[in-house]
Amino acid sequence: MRTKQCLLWLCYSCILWLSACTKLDNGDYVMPITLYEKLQGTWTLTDLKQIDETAKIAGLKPDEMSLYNQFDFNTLQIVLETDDDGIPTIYQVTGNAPVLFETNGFWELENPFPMADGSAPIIQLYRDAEKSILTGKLHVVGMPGASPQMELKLTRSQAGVPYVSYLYQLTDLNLK
Amino acid sequence: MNKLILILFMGMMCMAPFAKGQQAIADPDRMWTVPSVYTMDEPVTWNFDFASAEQLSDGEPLYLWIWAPTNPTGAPIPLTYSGERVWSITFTPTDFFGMTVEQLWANTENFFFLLRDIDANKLTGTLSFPKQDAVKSFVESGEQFAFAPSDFQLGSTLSILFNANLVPDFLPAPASVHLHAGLNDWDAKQEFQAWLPDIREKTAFRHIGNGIYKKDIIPESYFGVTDEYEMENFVFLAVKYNGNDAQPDWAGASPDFRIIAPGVPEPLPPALSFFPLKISARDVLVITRDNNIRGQRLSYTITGGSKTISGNLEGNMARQRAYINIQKEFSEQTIDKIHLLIKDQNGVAIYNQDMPLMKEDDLLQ
Repeated sequence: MRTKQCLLWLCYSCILWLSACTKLDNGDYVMPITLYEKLQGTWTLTDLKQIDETAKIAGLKPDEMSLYNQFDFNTLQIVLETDDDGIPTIYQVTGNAPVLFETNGFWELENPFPMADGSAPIIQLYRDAEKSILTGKLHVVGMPGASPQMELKLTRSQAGVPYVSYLYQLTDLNLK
Repeated sequence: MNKLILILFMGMMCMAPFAKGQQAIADPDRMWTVPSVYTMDEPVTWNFDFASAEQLSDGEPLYLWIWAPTNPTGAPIPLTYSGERVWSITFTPTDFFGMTVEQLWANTENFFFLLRDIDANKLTGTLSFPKQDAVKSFVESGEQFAFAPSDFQLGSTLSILFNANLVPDFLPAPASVHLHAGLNDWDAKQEFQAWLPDIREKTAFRHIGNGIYKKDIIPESYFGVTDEYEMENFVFLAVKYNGNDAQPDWAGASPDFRIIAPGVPEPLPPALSFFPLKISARDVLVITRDNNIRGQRLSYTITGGSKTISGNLEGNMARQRAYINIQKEFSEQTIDKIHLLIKDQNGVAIYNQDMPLMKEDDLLQ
């Protein structure tokens, strides 16, 4: 009888010991929901507009022009990759379009959460994995939502005055 | 009864002045001269179109009765019926009036006349042609060329006046001066082929003195086009013949002139534009030229640092455009400008200037 009781206690303590291995989900360890979820993927260009910022400010026309059917822009794809934890890793631009920013490297958002003031999030492009050499910035002026459409804007400025922008209109063909 | 006869007789007496009276012929619908511009010592044809004058039957004899500057014969002068209710008369003013050029100009400002039948039973009101000295006003205008009439048509005479005095180094001309011309930006043309005697004759201007030249042509027959040809413009230059029949050649030419045909809207001026207005060495550039001249083909040559690229603008007369990947061609060099040369198929430079390249702000700022 005593032996039987001992055995029961032993089993119970074993269960207790083993049960310590299961992680109880109390909410502390969930990865935060970031914009990376929306941005990652393979994006195919549907239109590219070149915007003449000088003309726009001066009120001159034309101030924008579609280049989609020129320079093989219609072959352009942008791949934004994240790791299993949703952390941004590498990006790559494929196709034969003119190289308006570096075609591969590493990426991250300046701020991974939606901006409180509603301003466009900024994708920062880096040459190195340590993200120390910044090579470009793309403004996410159209955030993918219910439909997999994204708009990225590359702007060049001199002395703080923008003179040309490129507006990439993209779609994710692998519907999420 | 006697009373009735008396009344009838009196009635007839009253009618008599009307029966004997002259009938008025409605003025011509249109009056014009061929050529439009003529000197007093060259043949001219006056034309009168009585399209709607009920008083005249087709082809009936009609006469000119002229009193200014003078009545040359004291008798009515018969007109020629040219068909289609047009009557005309051809004469050389100096011979016709028996006056010198100077005497003619010193006389009235207009030719005054009327047209009538032989007995003057029916006649027009007083008509006139201005004796406008087109050549004198042309010389005074200071223009290198002029043309008339302003509403010239494919099938009617076009007079061209050329003032060689106003073209630098054109005079003296060693021999005759010729018309090298075309329609619709040389689509149809009559070149001055100096080595062909009949073409020399066909294209020759008439020297009317003091470096002023005149040429009358009917575009349709001169350029050998059909009457359905849609004339949009007339282009020409005056060319000097070297006068050497053994080795015939051009001995110089005036600038190109261009006349827009009547009723054709004035074409918009050519417009060259760059898009965007400012670029860096990492951008793409769009060159556009709108409202090109017929047949004009444009090409570009871009030089940046040690590299030169060239190509054609694609498109039509309304718009020609080139898309240039500056980034691919020039971003490997450190340059702060590129040089753009745009020219047409004849080598005429449309644009020949530097374009500064913008810098890019440091991204960390």
